[in-house]
Amino acid sequence: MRLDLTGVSARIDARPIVEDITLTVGPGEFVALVGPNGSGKSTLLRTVYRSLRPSAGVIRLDGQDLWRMRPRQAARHRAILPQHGKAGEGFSAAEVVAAGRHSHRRPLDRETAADRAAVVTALGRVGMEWAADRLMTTLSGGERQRVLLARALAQEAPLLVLDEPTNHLDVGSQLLLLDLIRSLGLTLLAALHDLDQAAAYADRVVVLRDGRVAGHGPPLEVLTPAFIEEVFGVRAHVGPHPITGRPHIAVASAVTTSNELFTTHQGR
Amino acid sequence: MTDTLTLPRRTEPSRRPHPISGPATGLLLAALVAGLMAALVVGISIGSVNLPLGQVWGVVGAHLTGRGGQADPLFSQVVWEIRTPRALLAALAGAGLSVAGVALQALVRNPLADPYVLGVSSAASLGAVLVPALGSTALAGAFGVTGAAFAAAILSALLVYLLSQRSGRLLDSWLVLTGVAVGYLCAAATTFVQLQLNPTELQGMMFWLMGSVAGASWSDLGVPALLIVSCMAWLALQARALNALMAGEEAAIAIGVPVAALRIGLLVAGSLLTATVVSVVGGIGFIGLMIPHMVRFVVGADHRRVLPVSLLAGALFLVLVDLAARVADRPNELPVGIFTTGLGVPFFLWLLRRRAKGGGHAA
Repeated sequence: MRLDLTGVSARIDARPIVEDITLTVGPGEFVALVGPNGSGKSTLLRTVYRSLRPSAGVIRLDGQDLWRMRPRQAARHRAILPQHGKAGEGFSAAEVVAAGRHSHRRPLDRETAADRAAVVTALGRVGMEWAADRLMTTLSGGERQRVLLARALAQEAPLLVLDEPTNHLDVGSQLLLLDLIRSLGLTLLAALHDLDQAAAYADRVVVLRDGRVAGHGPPLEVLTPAFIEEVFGVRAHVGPHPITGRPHIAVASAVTTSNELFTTHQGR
Repeated sequence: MTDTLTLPRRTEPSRRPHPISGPATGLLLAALVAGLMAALVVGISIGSVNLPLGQVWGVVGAHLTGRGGQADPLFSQVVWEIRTPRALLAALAGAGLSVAGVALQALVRNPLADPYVLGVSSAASLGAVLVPALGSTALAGAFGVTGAAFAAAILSALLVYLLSQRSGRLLDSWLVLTGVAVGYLCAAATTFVQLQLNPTELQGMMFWLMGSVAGASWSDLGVPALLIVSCMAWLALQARALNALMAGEEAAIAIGVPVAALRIGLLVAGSLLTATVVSVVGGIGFIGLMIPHMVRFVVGADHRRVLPVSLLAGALFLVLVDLAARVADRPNELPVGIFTTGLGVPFFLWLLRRRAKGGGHAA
C-alpha cells in the first residue's frame, strides 16, 4: 500500500492549519511525522482519517482518491490508532476488537467464522489473547493501547496511521508498542513527539513547522543538531545509541550550559 | 517479527466481563417480557375503584375476542377505555424514553445524556403548550400538539448540538451544560405561556409539566407505537456502528462508520421518540438516564444487548411506577413524573460521583 498526499491543505474554523503538504509513504515503509506542538501533525492526520476534509489537495491510496471512497471501502484500506484511544467503557477487549470487522460485513450479517478468527488472530499478534473477556477499564494504559492496535489489525488494512501512539504510556510500554508496530509488516504513518523514537524506529521522517514541511528524508540526514535547534529550539546530540547502536538523539534546553541549572539547584 | 518480541501477559484467571452475557441475555429478555406482561395484568386489575378481578378480565377477554359490545357498559368503560390504554401507554412511554436515552447517549458519547438533561423534554413541553396558547392560528392548527412538540424538540436538540461543537468536533462536557441552559430557557418560556392562559386552560396544562399517563385513550397509542417500532428497528440495524461510536469519533470513522450521517440519524431518532412521548404523557424525567445505565451495568455496553433490554426494562419500569403512583395515596393519583424524578435525581448524583472517582464498568 502506497500513500500519497499531494498539495494537501486543511483548515479549522476557516483558519489554515496545514498548507500544501506533499508526502509519500511507500509500501512497507515507516514514516514518522514530527514537529513542535501546533505544527499541524494531528490536523494533517485527521485528513487521512477522513475526519477533516482537506480544503485543497488530494490523498491517494495506491492511486485511488481516499475521500472519494465509501466509508467501508476506506476502512479496508487504512486503519487508525487515534491519539485519545477512548477505551469504550463497558466493553470487553474482544468486543472492542470485533468492532474492527465492521467494514467486512453488512449491518444484518451475523459474525462469521472468519470474523471470529480475525479477532483471535489480532489479539494474539499484540499478545493480548489472554484479555479477550476482560473489560477495557480493568487493563493498564499499555494493554489498552495494544487492544486498540488489535482492533486496527482486525480491519486487515495494509496502511496503519497512528497519532502519537505512545502518549501517556510508561517507557517500557512505549518501546514495546513501537517494536510491535514495527514488526507488523504494514505501511506506517505515525505522528511521534519523541525525536529519539522517530530516529530509532522510522525509515524516513517528515518534519512539520507552522503547517508546512520543513524537511524530509532519512532520520539522520534530516535531524541534524542544527536543524533540530532551528525547528524545536533545543540543542541536540546525534549519534549511535550506547545500548542498541541505532540512531539516537539526545536533547537539552537551549538556554543552559551543561551544569548551570544543576549547580544552581544544588547551591540552594 | 513478532516471534522475536516478548509480549507481557497476565496469567491471573479472567472473570466474565458482564453479570449477564451470551445466551443468558435471551433468558433475561424472556424474563423481562414475562415481567412486563405481569405488570400490565396487575396495572389493569388495580385502580382507584376496586372491581372484582373476574369482572375485569371478563371485560378484557370480551374485547379481545371481539365481543366488547356484550360486556357490562360501566365495567367496560373503566377497564377497557381507561385502565387498559393507560397501562399500555405507560409501557410505550417508558420504552420510548429509555430507547431515546440510549440514542442520545450514543450521539454525544456521554452516559449522562438523557432527553431531560439535554433540554429536549422541556422544549417539547414548550412546543406542546404553545398550541393551545396560540389558539386557532393557522400555525398551531397545521402542526397540532404532537407536531409542535416534535418541532420544538428537534430545534432544541439541534441548538444544543451546534452550540456544543467546536472545530467540527463535539465537546462532551459542553453538552450537558448547554442542554441544561436550553432546558431552563424553555421552562421559563413555558411558565410565561402559562401566565397568559386562563385557569381552565391552565388546569389542562399542568400535566405537561408533571407528566402523567392518566386520561390515556386508545387513540393516543397508535403514533407512539409506530414511531417506537420504527426507531427501534433503525437503531437495531446500527447497533454495531453505535458500539464503534462509543469508542470515539475517529475510531468509528477509522473502521468505516459514516459518523456524520449516523449522528444526524441519532439526533432525529432521539428527538422523535422524546417528542412523541412528551406530546402524549408530558415531561417524565430521568427514565432515559436511569434505565440504560442499569442495563449496561448488567449486560455490558454492546448495543445489540443494550437496545432490546432497555426497551423492555423501560416499559416495565414505567408501568410499575404508574401503578405506585395510583396506589400510594388512594383514591388520589400522583403524577408519575414526581416518582421518576424523585428516583432519578439521586441516581444522577450517584452517577456523577462515581464517574468523578474514576468510574466503574457500569458507564
